[in-house]
Amino acid sequence: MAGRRGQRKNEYYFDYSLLFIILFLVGFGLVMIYSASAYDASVQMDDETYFLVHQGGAAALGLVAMFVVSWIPYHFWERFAVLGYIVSVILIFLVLTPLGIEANGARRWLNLGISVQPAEIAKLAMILFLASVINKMGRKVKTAKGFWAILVMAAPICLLVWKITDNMSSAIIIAGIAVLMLFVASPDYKRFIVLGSIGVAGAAALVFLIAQSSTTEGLGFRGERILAWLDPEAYASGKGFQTLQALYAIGSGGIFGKGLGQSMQKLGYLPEQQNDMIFSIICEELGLFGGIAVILIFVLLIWRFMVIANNAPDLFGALLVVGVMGHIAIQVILNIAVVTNTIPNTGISLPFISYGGTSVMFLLIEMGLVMSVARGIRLKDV
Amino acid sequence: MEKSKTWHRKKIVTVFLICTAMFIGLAGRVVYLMVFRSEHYEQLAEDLHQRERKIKAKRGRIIDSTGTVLADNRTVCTISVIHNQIKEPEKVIEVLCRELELSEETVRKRVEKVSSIEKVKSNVSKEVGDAIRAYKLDGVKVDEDYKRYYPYNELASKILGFTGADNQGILALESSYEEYLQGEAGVILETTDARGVEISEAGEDRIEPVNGDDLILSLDVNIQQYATQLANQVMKSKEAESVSILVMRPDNGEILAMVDVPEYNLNDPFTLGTEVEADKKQDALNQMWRNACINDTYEPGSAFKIITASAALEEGVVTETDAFSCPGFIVVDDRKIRCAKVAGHGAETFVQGTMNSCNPVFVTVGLRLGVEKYYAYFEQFGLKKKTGIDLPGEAGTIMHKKEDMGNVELATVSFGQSFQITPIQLATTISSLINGGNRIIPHLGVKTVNEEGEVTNTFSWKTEQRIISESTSERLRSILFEVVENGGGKNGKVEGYRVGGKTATSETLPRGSGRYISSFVGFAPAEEPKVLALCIIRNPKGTYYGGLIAAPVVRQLFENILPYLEKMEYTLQKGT
Repeated sequence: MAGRRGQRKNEYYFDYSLLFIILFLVGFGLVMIYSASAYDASVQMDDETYFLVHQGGAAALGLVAMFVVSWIPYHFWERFAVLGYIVSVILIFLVLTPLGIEANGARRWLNLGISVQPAEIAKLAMILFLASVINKMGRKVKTAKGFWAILVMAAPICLLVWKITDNMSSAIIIAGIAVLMLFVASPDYKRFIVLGSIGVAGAAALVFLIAQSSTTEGLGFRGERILAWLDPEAYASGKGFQTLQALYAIGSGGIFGKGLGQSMQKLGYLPEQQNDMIFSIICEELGLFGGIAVILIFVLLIWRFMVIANNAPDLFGALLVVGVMGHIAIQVILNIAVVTNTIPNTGISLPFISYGGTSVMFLLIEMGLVMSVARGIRLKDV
Repeated sequence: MEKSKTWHRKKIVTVFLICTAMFIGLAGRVVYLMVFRSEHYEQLAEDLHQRERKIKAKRGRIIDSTGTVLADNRTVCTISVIHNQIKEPEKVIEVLCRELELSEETVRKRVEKVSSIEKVKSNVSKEVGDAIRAYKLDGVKVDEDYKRYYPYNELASKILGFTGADNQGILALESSYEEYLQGEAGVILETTDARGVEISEAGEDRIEPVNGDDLILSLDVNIQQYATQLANQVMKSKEAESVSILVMRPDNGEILAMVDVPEYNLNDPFTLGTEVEADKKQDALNQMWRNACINDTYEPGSAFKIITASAALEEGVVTETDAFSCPGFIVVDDRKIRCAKVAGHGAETFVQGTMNSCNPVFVTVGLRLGVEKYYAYFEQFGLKKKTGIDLPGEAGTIMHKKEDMGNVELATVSFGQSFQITPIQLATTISSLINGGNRIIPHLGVKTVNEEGEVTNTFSWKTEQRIISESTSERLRSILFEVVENGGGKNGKVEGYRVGGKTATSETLPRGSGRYISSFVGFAPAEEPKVLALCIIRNPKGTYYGGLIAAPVVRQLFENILPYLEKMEYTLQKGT
């Protein structure tokens, strides 16, 4: 359908709707970052455009990278698949060296001239690596052995991201990307349903156990987060603080919002307001309509990914797009779920919109990859 | 290179559909939060963003019947700190410690507490408030409000009561009329960011305070002052423990004066006259604030013979001319009850017996009534219930149970012993018996008036409860007139006026301690009583007979206030 739109019967396809969605999201993200962070920036940095300028620079750089990548045939990257995997592992370990930067109590960043999050690189490396491996495995991926082989290959990175950089959210995202790519590659459903059921049952049992325990001692901060999730108002000044402040913001937005720039919660009440919690500021300022519109844009984006993946010239291309699709879908769903207190609090940023240079740059590079795959679509094939 | 298969496409669509389903779920959650929970969270957020500053309402004044203000307001300051706005915490602590004379620890705790606004001290004088304001310290707020001030210091302290740190009524009228006096506090709501900085565009919401209504009393400051003076005099001359004087109108229950010396200074109610150990201070303060007229009970003694006489006259078991004989004692069952006059009064009529305050006469009359009837009248006269006066803490009557009452108990009750009532109960019951027979409710509050002078509430104290017949009441008045005119109460006689009354002397428990309570109750004019006064002297030294020490107090009081009241009445009638 989308492909048929081009009247020019030339051989290649360029997905303009995807480009538009991406540009819109990046632009909207910058507006919201400025709105959400101006107060904080003027208080902390004495420059209310501080976060806007930094994010703007990263986005510009990312857009250039995106176009460059989109012009390079995606098969070019296949040869770097294993290398990318190894580099990610090394970068993760580098966090432990003096190159690592500690912020907010976690060592997650690397100082390589600019600050970089190895976990963001690992996501892209994992997509590339798995796409290449599954492609090479061919029919073997259908077997149980192939199924487990893929999972075992993905596991080390997840564990390293979780344990070394103490970043469970990113580990979950990387694992999710791997499972989704495997799901698409394999014709099987049963294993995934079993795997999924076990996951859901385990999580439910854990929540039940924590909710039943009489003392909070020995639960650790993740246990407390779960208790705070179940009743944020009871933990208002502790673990439930951020969630509750986000709910205040969302709730006080109402149907039409307070208007752009009119958020009260961004005035120092809501922590991470331009970061993980930016969706709640969007809701407060732009109301229910703004919040739903953002969700719709992401649905559109994922729909474009589906169309491109389904029309990709080969499995490698399709899997690349599926990986990116999984990455973005998982992150958006988890972020909005956290902000609306649908799941326990964990730090996940909203793709394209949340403040974060590495994140937006690598996301745009991933978009470049998807566009490159889209270029491979021959219109007569569609 | 492998081509993508059909299942790949199916699965990609499956992934998309699963994601979309989750997005729809989240959208639903957002709708729930932003539509159905919106009000809840918006309210919570507003509470968080808005800083509340109370504007105190002006407390209503308390004014007597002549228009004299007895409880007034003075401007004072409340000092608060706003944690987020403090720039020099050490200087703030230092200045506040010095100016407010508070310990550093106290001030530091307030200054360092993370809250939107924290009160450091209230009721600070305006001068100190101005001095603190002059330092221009960031984060220190000086708000002006009102403090209670009592222009007459000790006058009527036991009935006015005083207010606490937040201007709330604590005792007596200040407490019982709290709802009329307090008014409604106003609020200034300022919207601030998380550091407490006001957001000027947001403006401030202001809810204006509603000032309290003035309370108008039946009390007359002139009578109160004179009665206080008399009470102090007799307390001093008789070295008594305390003296109470109650002046009320028997026809409608309005209290004109209620004195219970020693009184205390309303502007400084927490200072005791004497040094007391710290743990006993509260007890001593409570003792000092007690109003013996209503909070304490006592044995009324011979004044209670008025009640026995009323019941007997009403029931018809005695007439004025019935003959009695007093040998100086009377034997009831196996107990010998003595008369005050050991030699006995000899032959006497009922009226003479009352004039002599003869115990055997009243024991005989009481026994004629019998326990059943006597008890019925006791209840009918309202003696078992509280009077319902508009002052808090009225004590109840301590009386024998009917089933425990034998002839001996009945005999002692007949002349006012072996049970206890409050002075206000005695005065109210006697008033009701002599006013024609209608039970009244003693009270001080007449009406409330707002700032514009409009009457906002008129309190109704009317009862339609007849306790004895008009004619019995009339007969009682003339007997009591005889008591003062020619009997034991002759020291209560006032030149040019017809006064009725009865004396009383009772030994306090335990008997034999030599501690007495002398009292006299008098009313005038005897035919149509306009005023009734009760004087109680506790533990006087030397002469302790009520007729000798309490009756002259009432006489002096009447000598002064009867002409005054006539003049008031005259002006009032002329006015209306």
